Amino acid sequence: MSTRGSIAFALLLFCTSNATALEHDLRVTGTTHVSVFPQSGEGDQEDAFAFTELKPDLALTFDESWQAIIAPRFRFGVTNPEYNLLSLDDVYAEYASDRFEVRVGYQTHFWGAAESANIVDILNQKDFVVDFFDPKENKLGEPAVRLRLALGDNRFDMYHFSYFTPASLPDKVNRFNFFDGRLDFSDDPLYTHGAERLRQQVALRWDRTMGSADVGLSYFNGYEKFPVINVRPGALEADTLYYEMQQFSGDLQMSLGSWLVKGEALFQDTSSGGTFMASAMTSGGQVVRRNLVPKNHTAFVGGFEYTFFGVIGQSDVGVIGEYLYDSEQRLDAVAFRPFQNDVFGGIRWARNNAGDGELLVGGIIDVKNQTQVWRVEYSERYFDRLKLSAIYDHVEADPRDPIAIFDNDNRLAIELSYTY
Amino acid sequence: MHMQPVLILIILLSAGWASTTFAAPPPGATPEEQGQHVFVTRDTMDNGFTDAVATMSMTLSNAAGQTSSRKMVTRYFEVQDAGNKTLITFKFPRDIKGTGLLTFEHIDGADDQWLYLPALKRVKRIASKNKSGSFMGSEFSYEDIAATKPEKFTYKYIREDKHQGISVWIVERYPKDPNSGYTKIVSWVDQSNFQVVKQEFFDRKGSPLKFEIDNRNTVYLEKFWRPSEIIMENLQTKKKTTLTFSDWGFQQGQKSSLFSKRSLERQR
Repeated sequence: MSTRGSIAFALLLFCTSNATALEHDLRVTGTTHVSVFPQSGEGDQEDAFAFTELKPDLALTFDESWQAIIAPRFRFGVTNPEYNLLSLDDVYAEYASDRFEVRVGYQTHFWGAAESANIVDILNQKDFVVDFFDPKENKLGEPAVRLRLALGDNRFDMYHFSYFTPASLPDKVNRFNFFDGRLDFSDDPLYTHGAERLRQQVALRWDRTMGSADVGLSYFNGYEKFPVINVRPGALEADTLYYEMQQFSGDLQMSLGSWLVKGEALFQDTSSGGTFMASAMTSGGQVVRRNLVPKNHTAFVGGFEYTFFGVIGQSDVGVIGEYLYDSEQRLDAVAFRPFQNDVFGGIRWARNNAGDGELLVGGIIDVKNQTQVWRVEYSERYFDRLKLSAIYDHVEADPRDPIAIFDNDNRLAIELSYTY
Repeated sequence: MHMQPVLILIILLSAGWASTTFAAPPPGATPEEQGQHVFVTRDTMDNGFTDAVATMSMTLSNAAGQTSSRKMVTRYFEVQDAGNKTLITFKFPRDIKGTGLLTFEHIDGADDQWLYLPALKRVKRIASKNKSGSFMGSEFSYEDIAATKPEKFTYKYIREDKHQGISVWIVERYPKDPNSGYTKIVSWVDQSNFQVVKQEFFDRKGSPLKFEIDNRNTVYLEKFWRPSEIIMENLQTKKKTTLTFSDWGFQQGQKSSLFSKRSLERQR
């Protein structure tokens, strides 16, 4: 049965068996977002953008076992239709018994433990257009089946993803475009597998709590979500290549008194992607043929979080320090994960007031060339239903660092949400 | 004492316990033993609740009188001879609906605690020493909300007294956990049912910090006492939180698997 067929079947089964005692809970969040870039863009890049977003979230519950979630996301670009988006973030039916769960439909998942980056979080595609450095709240739901088995404290997950979603990437009107606003990405990505988007992807995960630690081991077989970027000589658009790989990863979060220790590590074996030859222009202007599929690589992110409780009245202050390592050095492969040897420092100030006011300040600094990416974010709820957030991103890059392409993309973003 | 029949019933229901279990603090004992007796008895009386569920509503008000609301469903699971498990699911404000807090209390050592953030689909472990932090911006801290076993304190019986016409014992409790936000809690305990009616909390410097009033202690299934309302006032900031409980249910056959990280991710 196709995934679409399975969803329809599961929903039908759900509705017919439980039509008499259905409980429902609908939440709707409407958001208006404005981003302003104080420095002028290059090429076709805009100096501001705005969008509105509507997120209904309907939970249908019959009993402790059956649940259906319908939570799509509609985004309307106010300044530019480039920001329009329809994502079926979570539209699924789920059955859960004491030991067993099955979830069928469009779904988003999270793997990981660290704060500055979640390198092992491979299951869903992300949208890089709205928030390049922190796309984790902009995941795109994908059709999948997840089986979950609980045996004692052990949890085993099996995932099957049936239809791949390419990333939503910054085109030439967008900031964080890799070509200084001069090139769009092709709407027709390249794939190392002949079945392209229909290449079936699978994942396995085991996790459990051991004392004061939560540990997880995961395996993924499918496309790397970050494509390799290639510009053929004379091309008017940039190509993206999605290559197959196997990812072996582990994650850990552990509590030691007031300390939390967190870490993620991975090994990616790209041999299943084979070889994908393409023409490219070197910086010297010569045309060369090269294999776009990167070599195997390893990566790590991890560190600590320490919280001081009851500082300045009843507010809490958390201090976070992490180290980021990635063995990948090839420029065209590191565009989306440009942190090869970097440290992260962050402070979280939770005011614990009625509006849950929270200030976050964090920076990632390259150990060798001191390239820096900073974010300051404040959010607070007002009148129980309105939430205001302000974000400022600042990039200070060494000209030789891949991030240098973003050095005029400092950004101020204001977001106002109303939740019904 | 008008509550005597209830106490007798409790004793009858609790076969195997000596009838002296629910007596007043033994006069020959030290003040430490007398104080401990009150709180151990209170805990023992609650044995056998198996599982419980309640809807909790909080109204937060600041010194200027502005208010804000919280609503959550709290589930409790009794673990014999160990700490209990608690699952709190937030319902209001709507933007944090589905956020869940799972706590495994441990008699010895730090509790395990996880927070589920539905927007990120992420289960985050919380530092186990997070005792004194404010719960949801309210005047209640995590240690006020969590079930606390009597083993986590040392005690001192002070004296008998009257509170709004009822006979009470006044007992001081001292948290053993160095991460507690308190050095001392003074509790007024109703002699008829061993329930707290009033408490005063002292901060780490020993200054009066908070004042709690428990209203309408009610008995369920003729055995399990719960307050219907707790008012917590911060004496230093003049902020106040009123916590009301409704829809109490006991022994509903909630499964142990409901109190898991897996279930945390399914709460709505």
